[in-house]
Amino acid sequence: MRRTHPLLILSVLFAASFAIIGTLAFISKKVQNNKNGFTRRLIGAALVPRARIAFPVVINRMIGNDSGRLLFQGNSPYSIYVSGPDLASFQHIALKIQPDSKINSGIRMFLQDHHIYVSCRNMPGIISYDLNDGTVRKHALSYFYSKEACISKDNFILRTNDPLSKDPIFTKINLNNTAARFNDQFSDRNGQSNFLTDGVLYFDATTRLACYTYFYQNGFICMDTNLNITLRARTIDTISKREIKVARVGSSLTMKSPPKFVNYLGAVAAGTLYLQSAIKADNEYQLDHAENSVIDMYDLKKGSYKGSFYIPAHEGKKLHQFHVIGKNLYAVYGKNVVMYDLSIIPDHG
Amino acid sequence: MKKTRLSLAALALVLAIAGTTTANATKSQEEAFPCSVVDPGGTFCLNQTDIECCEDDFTHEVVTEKVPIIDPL
Repeated sequence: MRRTHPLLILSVLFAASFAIIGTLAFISKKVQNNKNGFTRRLIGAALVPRARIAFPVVINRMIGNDSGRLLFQGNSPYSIYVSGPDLASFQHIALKIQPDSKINSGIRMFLQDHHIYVSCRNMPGIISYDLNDGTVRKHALSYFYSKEACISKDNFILRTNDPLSKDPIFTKINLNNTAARFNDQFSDRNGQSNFLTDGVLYFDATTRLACYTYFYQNGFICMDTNLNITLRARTIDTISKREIKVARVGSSLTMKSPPKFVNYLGAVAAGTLYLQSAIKADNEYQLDHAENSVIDMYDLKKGSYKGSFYIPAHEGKKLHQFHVIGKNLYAVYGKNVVMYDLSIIPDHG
Repeated sequence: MKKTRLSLAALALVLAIAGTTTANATKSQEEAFPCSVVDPGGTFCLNQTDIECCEDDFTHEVVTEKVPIIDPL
């Protein structure tokens, strides 16, 4: 038998291991870089941060802006944070709302005139708080809802369930008569669960359109304040819808497996929808898409695509909420809020 | 013959290491869904985001994912 040198065997094994790992890594990278069949019209220049502020608590979302003040919702239903538009400093304001365990979770705050509306999805109901005199009014609802948008003083559009078919629909309510509800006529009544059409509801004060974007399917819809549908638009991605399998656990429904997002959160301002996409375009670099949050812009009246841009990560973290006010974009990164200049984007100068 | 066996064993070891490394790398890239089960204690879904994860079939009360979602994509 021919003798083989042990060093040769070891060298061959060493080289083979590198070759195997390299091949597997190459295959894995190739699988992840699959083409998605669409391209983005990316605005070349990066957003420029203008200011930053650090709050003592995690900021959940921006409530709104009023008289040159920016209001932020933190992690408590009993207080808000206020800063100037330049984010130079902040002030903590306590809301004198009677403590209630039902409003410790599932709250969204909205600003209309000098009123803070605390939407309590688990109560269910909406608390109106007058910032001028501290008056509190509780408006209980007899049904649960999952999304809400304040369209004018005391008026809301909710995403709730049809009382008969149980399908998710949109309802318009007035807080002074919560027993009355006006349901939309365009939502599908086909016995599908809420999960399939889960998304985010917005209201644009400029166009007076409510807009709903989907997490797990392409497109978005717009409706007027009388719940007439004005637009069914497609987003630029090519994913029609994700498959969602629903499981029953006790009396609750949940999703069997994690569906991947098609579009995530967004913002509306001055007739434009800013939508964070989860799908990489074919003309994007993998690293750019992975390290930034890509925002696609759409016209709320026509549904047309207006271009895309990146919001950079801050201190290694991606944003979890953002809002557009005039030429500025405010991105929320945990306790930090960063203001970016949007004037580099066409139509925002 | 003994050396051949040794070589085969070493090759098997290398393949096992390579396979495990690749499997782990792929696994870490998959996002764990933070709320795929109902949590009766209410400590898992803190209900502060817009992403629905549980819904009561009778009352339609919805529980959403925990907050904050820093990088869900």
